[in-house]
Amino acid sequence: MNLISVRDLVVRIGDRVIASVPELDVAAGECVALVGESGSGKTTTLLSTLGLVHGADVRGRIMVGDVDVLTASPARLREIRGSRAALVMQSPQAALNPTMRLGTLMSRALARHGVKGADARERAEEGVRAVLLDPEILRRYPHQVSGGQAQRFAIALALALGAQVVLADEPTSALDVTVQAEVVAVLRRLRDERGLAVLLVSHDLALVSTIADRVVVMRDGAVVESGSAAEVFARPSDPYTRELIAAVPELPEAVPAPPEPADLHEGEGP
Amino acid sequence: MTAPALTTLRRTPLRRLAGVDRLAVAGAVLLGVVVLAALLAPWIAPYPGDGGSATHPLEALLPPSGAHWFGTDQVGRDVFSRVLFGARTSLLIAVAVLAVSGVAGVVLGVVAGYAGGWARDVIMRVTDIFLAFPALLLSLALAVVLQPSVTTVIVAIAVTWWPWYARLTASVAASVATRGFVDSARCLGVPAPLIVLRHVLPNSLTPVLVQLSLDGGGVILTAAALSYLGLGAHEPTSEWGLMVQQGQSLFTTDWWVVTFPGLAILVTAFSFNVLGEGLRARLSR
Amino acid sequence: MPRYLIRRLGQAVLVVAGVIVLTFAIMRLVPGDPAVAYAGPKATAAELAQARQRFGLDDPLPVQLWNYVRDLLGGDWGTSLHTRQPVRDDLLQAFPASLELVGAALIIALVVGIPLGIAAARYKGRLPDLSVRLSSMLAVSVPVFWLALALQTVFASGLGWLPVAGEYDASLDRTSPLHLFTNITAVDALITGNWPILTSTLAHLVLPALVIAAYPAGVVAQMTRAALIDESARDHARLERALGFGETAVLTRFALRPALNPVLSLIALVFAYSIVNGFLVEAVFNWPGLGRYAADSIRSLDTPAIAGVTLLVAVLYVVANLAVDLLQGVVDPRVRAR
Repeated sequence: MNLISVRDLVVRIGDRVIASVPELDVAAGECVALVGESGSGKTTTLLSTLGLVHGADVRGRIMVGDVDVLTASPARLREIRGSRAALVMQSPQAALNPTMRLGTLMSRALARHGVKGADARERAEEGVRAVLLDPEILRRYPHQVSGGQAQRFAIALALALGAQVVLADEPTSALDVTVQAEVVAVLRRLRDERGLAVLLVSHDLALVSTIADRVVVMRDGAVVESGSAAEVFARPSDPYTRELIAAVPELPEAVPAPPEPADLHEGEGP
Repeated sequence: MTAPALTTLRRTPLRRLAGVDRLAVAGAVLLGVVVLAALLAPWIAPYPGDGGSATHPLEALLPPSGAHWFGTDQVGRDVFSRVLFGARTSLLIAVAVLAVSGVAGVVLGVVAGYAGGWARDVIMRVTDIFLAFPALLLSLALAVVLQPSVTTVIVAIAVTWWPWYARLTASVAASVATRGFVDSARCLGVPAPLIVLRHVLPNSLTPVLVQLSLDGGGVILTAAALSYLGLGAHEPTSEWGLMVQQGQSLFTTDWWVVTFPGLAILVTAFSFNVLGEGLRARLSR
Repeated sequence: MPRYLIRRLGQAVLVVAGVIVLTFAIMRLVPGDPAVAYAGPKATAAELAQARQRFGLDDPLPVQLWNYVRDLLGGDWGTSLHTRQPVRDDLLQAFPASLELVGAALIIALVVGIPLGIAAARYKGRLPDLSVRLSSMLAVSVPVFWLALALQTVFASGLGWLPVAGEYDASLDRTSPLHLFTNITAVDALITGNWPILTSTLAHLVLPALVIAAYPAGVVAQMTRAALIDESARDHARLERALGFGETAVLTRFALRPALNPVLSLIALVFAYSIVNGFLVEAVFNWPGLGRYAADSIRSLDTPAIAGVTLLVAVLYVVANLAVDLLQGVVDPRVRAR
């Protein structure tokens, strides 16, 4: 069964269509990448799956599991946010509340979804370990962790809350190349080992080629091409896709090894 | 830097100001009414002579009626007429203070922001010192040592008000001065005063103008407070703070003598604040 | 952080020095002869000469300034012309009462202003927002002396619900005398368990504190609103929403703390402003604080007393600003790391 299933999605601001997606499915253990330049509507598509697009007219059908996002009550919508599909944002530190320890954010989020006490502590630590971070990080403030750590913590949040899909919005574009590799490696491992699904938004085709199973190419709000990653990269049918692929100097073949656990010394904050 | 970029930079802030914000419009309309009342006071006041030293002992302390909308005061003067004339005093003070402190602040601020270095340090430290006094406090101290009069009020408030504009202008001017078009003008050999006049000043002005309209209310309130304490306008000038002070012992028995001048201060300060707030909301959008 | 602290301290010392010089300059602007003011209009030439010597008025200005600074640091703030007491003693006596009044006002302002700011931000652009914005603009536009007179007339003189003037019912000094520790009546009454004086003081506090609270409450409401709207548009708020938190939770449980930072730094400014607004309010309610002392000094053109009040309030302001900068480290961990 698809964890996320989008049909005939049209998002408008006024008369302008900012995103139009006829079909988009994400199944367990699968990584689907939305690719395109900024302004192509990929982030809007991503956010609309959580009902987080404000000030726009959203039409069509968006299913997250058995919940119809566009008709669900606000309370039901808040229940599935985080616990079924969780967001990982572009700028890792700005996405974390500067006045709050990571552990506080984690325990509040868990409590929001009904997990409290010892159970919550266990889930938090388990989630943090699963992304190869030391649980000590829960005692830190956002400015005391590196970008890569913050990004992995965001994934840990999703795991602790029991989300089966991670919605990653340019999760590595604000990071160094080596740190990017770490984050991608973590996502790949979780996909392979736990069947975590990933809906990835990116303009970085080199990154996408290392992780995506399927690719959806968007331009000016519309889908221009979609298919399996291997197929799209090998035989792009749309001229725009060919242009995008040609712009990548070389698509890396080797994938860096996942980082070792307890690598906290790697970044002692900015 | 190309010419089009320069003109857009120079024009956008003011053009955005012209855009309509409902709050700003409401404030402007309200303030317009006050300004009209001030300008037309001699013609629209039912008893123009009562704006000054006239006395009608037989008509003292009459409650509001068709003949005297706001009643009459201790010496029988029409309170409505005096409130209208009071608008002249208050607005005169506000305009004078804002003009004097605005010009002084902008000049010093532009010098500090554009020149940088020791000039900036000296001006900013002096500014800090003046800003350590709440406006009313320093005006009070000054007004005490000068002779009580409307001029004293203007001088005393202006002295405390300029540092705000100096600081604001300095920070804006400093950021304008680092923009590309100023650099290129400097490279082309345009003399510094011309750069300041042509580029730095126009770009620094908008935030100051918004601040000026926000501050009108503060000036009105401070001026009224000084007059209320007996340090400003004195008889027979119509001044709202003074009218409150002279009538305060009558509040329980003859409420109108104090209520209407106080309301006039409130409405005027409010209209400035609404206008300024609307402009600020517009500008920060 | 230490280097940042030292720089801030250095700045504060510089500003205080400037404040002293400026106060001195203003007081030397006085038309007429301070010696005449002290010795009285009927003084003989000898008495005048004595007064001139006593105040060092024959010395050159820099020497006078030096003497002034030396006296200030030595604790001699001059002698009040109208109480004939050392200004420093007068100020020490009046200050706790002002602190009590302004403290109460600021508590009211925060308790009223922050929730209003939250409500406005929560319903941005709708009716609650508009009414909060308009009422806070009204609150900062109201002339305090007039509001003081109006509330006193209606609720004290008119309806008799609250006492008209004073700090507490003076007859209580006989029946249940107050032991002084902090000189702040409400606090002393509380820690010594003197309930009659405590309740009387609180009843006397209500009206003047409400009047003084109007301005800071309006400012705090506007600032809280603006800061919350700003904060709730940031990336972290989007993540919090994506974690399942609703708008109200995002505002109160997440955005409020970082948003309080600018509100807090405003409090120092508002504190000094409120002390000065107290000048107008204390006189109306006969509250025995700095304001009434200042008003009395103004009426008798008592320059040493006015200089003392001016200096005290300006220094208070500088200190309050410093304190807020330090406090900000508590609220915002980023500042601590600086």
